[in-house]
Amino acid sequence: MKDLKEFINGIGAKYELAEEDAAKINTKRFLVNNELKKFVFNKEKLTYIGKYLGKMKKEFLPSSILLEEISAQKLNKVYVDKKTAWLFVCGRDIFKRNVLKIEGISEEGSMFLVMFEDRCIGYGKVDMFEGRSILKNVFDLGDFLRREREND
Amino acid sequence: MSKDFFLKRYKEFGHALKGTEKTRRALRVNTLKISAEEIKKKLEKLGAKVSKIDFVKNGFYIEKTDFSLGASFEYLFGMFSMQEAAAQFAAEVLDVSSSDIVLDMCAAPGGKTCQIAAMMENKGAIVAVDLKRDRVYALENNLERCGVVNCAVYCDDTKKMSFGDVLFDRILLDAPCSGNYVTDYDWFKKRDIEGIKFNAQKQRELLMAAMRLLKKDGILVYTTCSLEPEENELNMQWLSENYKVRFEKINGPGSAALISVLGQELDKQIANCRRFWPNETHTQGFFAAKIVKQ
Repeated sequence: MKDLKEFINGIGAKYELAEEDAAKINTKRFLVNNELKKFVFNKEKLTYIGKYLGKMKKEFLPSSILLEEISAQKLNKVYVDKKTAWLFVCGRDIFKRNVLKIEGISEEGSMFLVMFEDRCIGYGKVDMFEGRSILKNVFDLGDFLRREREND
Repeated sequence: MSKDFFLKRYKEFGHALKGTEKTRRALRVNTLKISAEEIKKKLEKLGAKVSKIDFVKNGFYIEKTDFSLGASFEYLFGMFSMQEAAAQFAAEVLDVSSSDIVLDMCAAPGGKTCQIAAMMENKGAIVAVDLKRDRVYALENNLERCGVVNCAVYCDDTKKMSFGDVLFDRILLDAPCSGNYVTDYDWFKKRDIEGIKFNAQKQRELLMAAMRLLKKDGILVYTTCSLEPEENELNMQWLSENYKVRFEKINGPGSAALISVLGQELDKQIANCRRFWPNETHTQGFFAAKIVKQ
């Protein structure tokens, strides 16, 4: 769970994660309570269990469940309006001029949760684009729709 | 087989169907995230008109909308799922409690699994199994979107799986079936009696597995979206002849299941099962049985 902890620390969140409750299925990471542990019958065929926390790709990508949980904490956040929020869930980056409110210090490389009406819709990393500061989309909730299309 | 063949068949079962019936679009509220009242207000504010489905707890018919509900923030936040009204009925019949251990045998794409999880308030345990990996991806996607945390998913054949010494309080067997013409435009061209009998045999194999995995006094809910008696009442007759079971009465829309069908007189208890005929319920075709293992 080193990768997950690195993400949690990187974004400045606090998250209790007992090693004995952590489960790894291929690249995916889960938190499993004692009740569900009784239902691990065949690890080869198990694909998902308990609370899905995210998956490891080049870097750790948190699940929407984890993002929703940590978004209640005091973290780096940008608040956007509906139009910018929708463009973000369509995979677009966010320009500084489209941010309604920033919580936290914006530095190149720092991570920010993207909030729409007090709900987390994803997160991004501060980057520069043509001399301007942008929040580069790393993960957004539109991923659900993209995954659904892939599965059709 | 032709459309005429099947429509004549349904007429013999007491239902003069046209073969052009349509289902009403519906959604199910995910009560893990929001209440039915709150989502109704939100959707109405967005310009959608919805009305309560009277035979399920947290479902709405979509009467009118000028935007795609499936591409809304509320959908992405997991506040609701698009789920046909009859399909919402299966989990209602299962009647779970938050301490149950539940097996969802043919779980993908997971609409019913998420519904069961919400009914259990994310407590207890659900073991969800499906054979096809691409469909299991959809199931996992739905579990994440809906915030389900009390579920273990297996990509496997339930019939061959070992569950150790675990027996389940509740089992949902929403069996793969021949489907029905309401949700499949080409249905009449694709289906014949041989295929229906083949599916019925496969369903019996799943029923055998379900009976093996169910606790004594546990409840198995068997559902299909087929209108064909071979996959419904005749399978229930086979079950009653081979296992000690009782069929609990299901209250709801539609009609009692058939007990005099295709020249056979069936166990009278089978009338406790429920059939949704598309001309009566304005849903897809649907069959539900609530079986208690004795």
